Amino acid sequence: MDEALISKFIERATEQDAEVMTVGAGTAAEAIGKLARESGLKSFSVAEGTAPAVAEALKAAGLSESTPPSELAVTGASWAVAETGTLVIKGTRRQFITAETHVVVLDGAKMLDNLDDIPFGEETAPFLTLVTGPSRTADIERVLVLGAHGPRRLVVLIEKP
Amino acid sequence: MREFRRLSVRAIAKPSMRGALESAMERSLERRARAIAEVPDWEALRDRAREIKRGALEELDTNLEKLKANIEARGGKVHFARDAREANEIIEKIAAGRGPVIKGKSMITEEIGLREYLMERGHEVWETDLGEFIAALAGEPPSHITTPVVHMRRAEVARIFERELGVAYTEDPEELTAHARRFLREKFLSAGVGITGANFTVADTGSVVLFENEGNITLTTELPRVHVAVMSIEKVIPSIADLPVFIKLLPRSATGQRITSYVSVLSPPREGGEFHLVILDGGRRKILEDEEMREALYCIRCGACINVCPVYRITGGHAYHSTYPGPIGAVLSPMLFGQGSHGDLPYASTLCGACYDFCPLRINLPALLVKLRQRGGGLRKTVFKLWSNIWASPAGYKASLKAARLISRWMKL
Repeated sequence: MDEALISKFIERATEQDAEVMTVGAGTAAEAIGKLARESGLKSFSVAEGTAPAVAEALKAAGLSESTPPSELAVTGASWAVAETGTLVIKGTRRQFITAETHVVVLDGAKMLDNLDDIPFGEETAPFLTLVTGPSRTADIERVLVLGAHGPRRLVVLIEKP
Repeated sequence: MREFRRLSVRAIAKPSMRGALESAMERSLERRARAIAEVPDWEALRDRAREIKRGALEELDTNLEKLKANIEARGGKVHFARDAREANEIIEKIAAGRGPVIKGKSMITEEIGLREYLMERGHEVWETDLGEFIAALAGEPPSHITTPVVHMRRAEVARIFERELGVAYTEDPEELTAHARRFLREKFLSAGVGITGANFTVADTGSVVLFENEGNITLTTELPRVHVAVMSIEKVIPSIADLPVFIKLLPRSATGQRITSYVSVLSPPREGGEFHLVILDGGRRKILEDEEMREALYCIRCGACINVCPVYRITGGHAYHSTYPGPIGAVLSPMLFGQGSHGDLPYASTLCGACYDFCPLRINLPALLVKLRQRGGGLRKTVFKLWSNIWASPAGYKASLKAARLISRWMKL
């Protein structure tokens, strides 16, 4: 786990209005439950492969599970890119793009230095999305507004051992 | 031939626009400068991108064949269209009977007039990019290729939303954006067809790459069952290995962002979905065969040349009476849309050369403009022929700038 890369990712992703925190391994569910309680959101969905504890924590926080679109979406990320504060997410596009809040659980070991390190060539997943910060627009007089059509909030939980 | 002059005089008379444009362009250039300063090998990156585009066009037919084969191997369909009419007809046939159509922002669909074409044939069509949505509600074409309503003040947007969407008058960009989000979300969920452009397509993987900030393009490609992507022939790059170069180059040059909020690398169709790629020539083969003008096809539509252009900043985009404004528009429009209707545009430039400095692909826009003036005929032809010969070499270009500086010093200009 490269601490320098993680710090750079946190700095860059935060500049793009993502909310980033680090959590100990296995404690992401707890953090997500707390976040959901504070957010007042009512429905959630989780991407395939998400730890069962996450859905349990969200139910315990009073949210009900639904098929997308849901207000809160939890996904993983295959990699992250420190240089740009970017998450590389396979599939699940419908799920996260329709949510109000997108929570990403990222394995801290999956941090890449820059865009050249994304193994595009070896990647066989049909749909890759590079996600950097929440949805945004500046179309009206160049005033920045978050949550144009996609999530208003992007929360990244970096799991460290 | 005098259309630009007439429209620019009218635009300049509208004082509200000038302030808005100047400050918007200035801010975007500041952001660009910051974003570029942190890339240690920016100049090398530009060279690399130019080399990739040059090679891609050299092998254009091979690349397009590979692209087609890879997409069709997955069950997608690829259609070649010679001109706008053919492209529109193909897309209309695909969309017929499939329900409402939603669109991502795309210059190519502006160029072929797709929205109007579909609406005239009874299709319900919604632009989903906020700026394009506003322009469409206002009944105006976009005035800039990355920020379609950069010429509009918020009060104008407020009046349009009040009138067209029936919402309470507000000038707050956040509230206005929320109105559009609510209104369009329903359209996303009920649409049967999603239409996008393609910033790049990749021959060796058959991928379609789309850059955006709002999330509307991801929704457009993901929610409706049918996705139609429209590209012009020069958008194809040979290899996915080249993609990072353009991810680094395009958003920094366009909006001064390190990267846009979303970059989609798609290998459609998705499960249960249907995918069509429409590849338009629309006059580009002619440019391709024209050795002198070919580099105009290197353009990746970042808009940096527009943002820095002193003429655009004063007149705004509508004065160019073309889908493509600014220096690149002044080069492409006469070649794509005809000398008769757009032959005046190569004169809509001071030849200051800022566009050449800012173009990430190093397209020598001033030299291309001079060549087009020379080809345009008339009295001025001879002068520009001479000029063009001098500018044909980098040394000649530099020498001419030096000469201009010397002359202005002598004349105490």
